[in-house]
Amino acid sequence: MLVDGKQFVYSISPVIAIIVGHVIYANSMQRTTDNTSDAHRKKVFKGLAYAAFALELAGIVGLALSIGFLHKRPFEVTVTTTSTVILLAAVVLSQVRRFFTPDSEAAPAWTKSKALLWSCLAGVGVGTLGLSLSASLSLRNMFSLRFPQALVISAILTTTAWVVYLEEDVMFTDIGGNFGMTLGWLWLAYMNSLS
Amino acid sequence: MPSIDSTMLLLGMIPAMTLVSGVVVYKISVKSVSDEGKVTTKNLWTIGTYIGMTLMMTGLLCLGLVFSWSIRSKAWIAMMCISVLFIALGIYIPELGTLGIVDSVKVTDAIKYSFLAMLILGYIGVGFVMISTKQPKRPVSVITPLIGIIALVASFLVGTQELTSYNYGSSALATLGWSAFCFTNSLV
Repeated sequence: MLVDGKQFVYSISPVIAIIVGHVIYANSMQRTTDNTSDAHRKKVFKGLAYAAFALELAGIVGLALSIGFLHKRPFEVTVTTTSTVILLAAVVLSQVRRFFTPDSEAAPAWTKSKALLWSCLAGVGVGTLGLSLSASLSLRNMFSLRFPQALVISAILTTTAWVVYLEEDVMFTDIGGNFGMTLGWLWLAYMNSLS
Repeated sequence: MPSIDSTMLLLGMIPAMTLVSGVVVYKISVKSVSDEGKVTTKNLWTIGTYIGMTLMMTGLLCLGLVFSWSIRSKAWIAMMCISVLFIALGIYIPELGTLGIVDSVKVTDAIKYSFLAMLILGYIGVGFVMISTKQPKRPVSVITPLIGIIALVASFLVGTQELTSYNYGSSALATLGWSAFCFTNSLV
């Protein structure tokens, strides 16, 4: 079984953008809230965090385009587009919520809502599940070898995406969650490139 | 654009992910041992550190075997073995003090930086062998191990709490780095 090198590069490039963007964003945001950095450094890290977050979002759009290009049928394109929109909305909302969390006094009331948190988590779960399923829909013989693989990817992506974005409530998400998330995205890029 | 042998890719990814999951289990266990809690729980987490370290070393050994599989020249195989040994020592020796196996090991700054240098040399060695043994050489087989080396060095620097207090994302970068090596190894 061969992987189409061209398609793999198209799939892996946005995945690298997502991962690198996520890592830089998380580290920069952490440095804006600690006590060791002065005001100027905090401002620089905040700018870096915004740039990295933009890179992460661009990576998600790029990956969705890469998956979408494989599809000919309108149904599959619709699944890809809908999943991407849901995922982007959930990621942006969850980061907006996290952005306000350190300064709990000044945070608007809606950012503290539990319903918002769970909606974000549901959105991330549904979005990643939809993307991974649409990547596997283009494969032939989906119900033989490929379908269990597609289910495994979906399970990994959905679970780890939830764990990563449930940062405040689950321990050790910084190391375990990022590992699972990276593995999930790489697996998706691989599945999207099987010829 | 070259194709990728998916069997070889999976054959590389399984030990690579065993290695990274070992790192994850090890780091979580070490962190939990130092937390306050019952003695029984601490003992369980201590076992977790040994399991994590075993997974790490098993993954690394198998990965070295997979990477050396298609290399015909004995000189290149020897260099690959030395590089993998450097990586193993660079990971393992500084952790001996943490694990409490060897109490006399005092991890001074000099030791720490020596083994960090050894680890980085090991990564560079693996990347160099991969670039040199790919026939015909293609731009993608040169660029990808370089991405791998950068990601792995970054993961170590980010993950070493003594060097920086921020370890967020070290596992993501390690996964990316080892995957880049596996990708290069499966080009056909």
